[in-house]
Amino acid sequence: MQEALSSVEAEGSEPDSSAAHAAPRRLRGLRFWLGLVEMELFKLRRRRLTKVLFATQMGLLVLVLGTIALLYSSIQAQPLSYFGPQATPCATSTPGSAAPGQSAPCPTATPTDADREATRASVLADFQQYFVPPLAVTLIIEFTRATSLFLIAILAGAVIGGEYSLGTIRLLFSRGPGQIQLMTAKIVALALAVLVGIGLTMVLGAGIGLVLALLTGAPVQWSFLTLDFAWRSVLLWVVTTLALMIYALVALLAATLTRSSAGGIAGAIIYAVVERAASNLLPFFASRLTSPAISAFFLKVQVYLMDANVSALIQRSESGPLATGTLPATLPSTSHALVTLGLYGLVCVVLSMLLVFRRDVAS
Amino acid sequence: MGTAPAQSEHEQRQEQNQAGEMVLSTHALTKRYGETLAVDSLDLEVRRGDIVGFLGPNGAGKTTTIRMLTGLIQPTSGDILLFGTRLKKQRTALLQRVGALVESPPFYPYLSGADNLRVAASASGMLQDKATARRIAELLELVSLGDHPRAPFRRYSQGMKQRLGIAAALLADPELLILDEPTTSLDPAGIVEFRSLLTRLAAQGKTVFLSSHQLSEVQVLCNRVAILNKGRLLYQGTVSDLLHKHIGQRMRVVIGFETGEALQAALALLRAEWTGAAKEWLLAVKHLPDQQHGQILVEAKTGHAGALNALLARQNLFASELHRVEMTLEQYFLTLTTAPSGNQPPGASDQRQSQMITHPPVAGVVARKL
Repeated sequence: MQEALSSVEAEGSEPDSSAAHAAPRRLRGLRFWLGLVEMELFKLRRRRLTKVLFATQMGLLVLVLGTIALLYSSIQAQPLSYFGPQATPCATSTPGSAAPGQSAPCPTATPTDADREATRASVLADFQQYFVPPLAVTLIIEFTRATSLFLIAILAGAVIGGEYSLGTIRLLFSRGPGQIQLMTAKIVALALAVLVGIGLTMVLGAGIGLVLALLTGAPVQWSFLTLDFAWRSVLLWVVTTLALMIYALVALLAATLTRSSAGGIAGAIIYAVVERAASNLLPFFASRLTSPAISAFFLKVQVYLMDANVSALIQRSESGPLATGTLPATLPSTSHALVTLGLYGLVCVVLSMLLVFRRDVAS
Repeated sequence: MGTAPAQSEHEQRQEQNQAGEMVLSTHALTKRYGETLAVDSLDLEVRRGDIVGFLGPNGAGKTTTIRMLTGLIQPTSGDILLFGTRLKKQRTALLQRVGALVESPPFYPYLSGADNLRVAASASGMLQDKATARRIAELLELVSLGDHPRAPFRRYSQGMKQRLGIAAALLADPELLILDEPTTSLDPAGIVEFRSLLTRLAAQGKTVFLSSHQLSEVQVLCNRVAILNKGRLLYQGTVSDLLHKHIGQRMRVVIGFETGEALQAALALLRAEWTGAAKEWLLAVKHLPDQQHGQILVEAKTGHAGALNALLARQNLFASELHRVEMTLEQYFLTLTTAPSGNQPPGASDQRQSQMITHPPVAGVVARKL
């Protein structure tokens, strides 16, 4: 005990363990902030919640891809006759060939085996694209967008609100970090965690898809592995992360406002659910309104919601080998989505900072 | 640890520090919560090497003051200067030179003690290098947590949590330690070790600002004391000055008699003299009932024990028992903080304080034969 005390006392005077003497003044602030980001990442890594959320995400993804692969397998196992089109009534019948109210079979309705094979190949190709890259990457991103929204809200709410709930905000603030330093470090650490999480989901999801392709015998066109595919995948990955981070910022605001994990999580999830409902309901109401002015207003409001802009940003990044089809005409432009989401983010961050600045850190 | 040598060390340190650097000072520091004035124009002064005891009853404003000193809450008005610089001006740089333990230590329940200290090190601006890892390991050993390096904080006992809080406060080798009830939850051995550690740190020139309810601890450890009540500073100065000049101007004597009649006669005599001829030196008289007929507690100016004895002897009242009771910091603190005015200057020891009569003062104090 005494030896330890002496050692600690001697060690305590070492300048290399103290920020006060180690680095030039101008770099000290940046190094300190980077240390805070590293600290936040360290806490995220050690949190069980982070692992549980990622495992949940991967579990759901395996479930979705596995279900599609299972359907693919069952379709593959069907006999050829399963794909024969039913004899369809002719659209126009010759007068007198059938009684009124009845339709006559078309003379050329019976399919050949070749037609059935083509139908089967078409159906299998439809299913296959959902779990075999390159298009599987797009499906994974769409799936991630739907589920990560909630998982990110939970993680961000816990990360920020948890400091208040546990009282560790006192541990941090009393040691020197300013409000801006700490909050920005948390946001950056969260963004990095989300980036890694979505990246891992994409890579592991693609890997799982390839394994399922091998298991089901689905053909893989390895020619998709091009630089263009890699670049577009990276772009989609980064854009999806940035777009989904908006829900982390909503959680930041809710957690700061309520000073609790539960408040942060609930606030962000409720907002996301209500907004998504509004996003779907506004066009529906708009189509049923008789007043064109109000109808147009409803549609305009919809394009300023977070959900519509997150969708726009992600869908507009799904280009080249990752493109799934034509984009809806009402989809906001990339610049519109960036500006709108940027403003939402700014409002959340500024309000959170104001709250942190104006409030005391109580027990 | 003996009291006398410690006080001697403190006195020496006090002399050395008289012209020392001001490590912490507040000027008219005020915190108001709505209508409630939690801290009222507080002017604190802490010099390098001081161990300052920060005393006050519950709700006096101690924790609010400590929260302001550690940047957790903003003062309504007034200034805080750490190492001569306003806290508002260089918050991060100044607080990195301070080690604080505010209330019950908050840590992450899912992290081990070592990992919690890693987080605290990052928040203090320390690098995550080998030197920091070594320091964390040594601090865990120091606070007797070295045997539980991987146990998560949520499994810690209250005492272990407090020990980790102390380790976190010491982590960045702070020049100033601000400790709020640091020995709460520690076992007796832990308290002794902690006191020894504080004394050693002070000998190294560290400054300690210690809020405690254990007045005996403050009396033993601290060379200066600041007493707060209802948000206002009642006393600030050296412990020795307080004990010698203020407490030392008074003496307390417990007198016992063989019979109840003698005791009642003595009580009547002393009460008459309290407002009569002896009012200059006889400060307080109180009947202390016990299982028999009780005792009398007399508070008088120092040096009047003989006069008291003579006063009784003249009336043929001979005490069967006569004890001088040493007034401790604890009793002085209670006197000061329970006085009706609440903020009277402690130097006014010759004022008649009827409060002293109604206050039972002898429990747990050391008595010696005159």
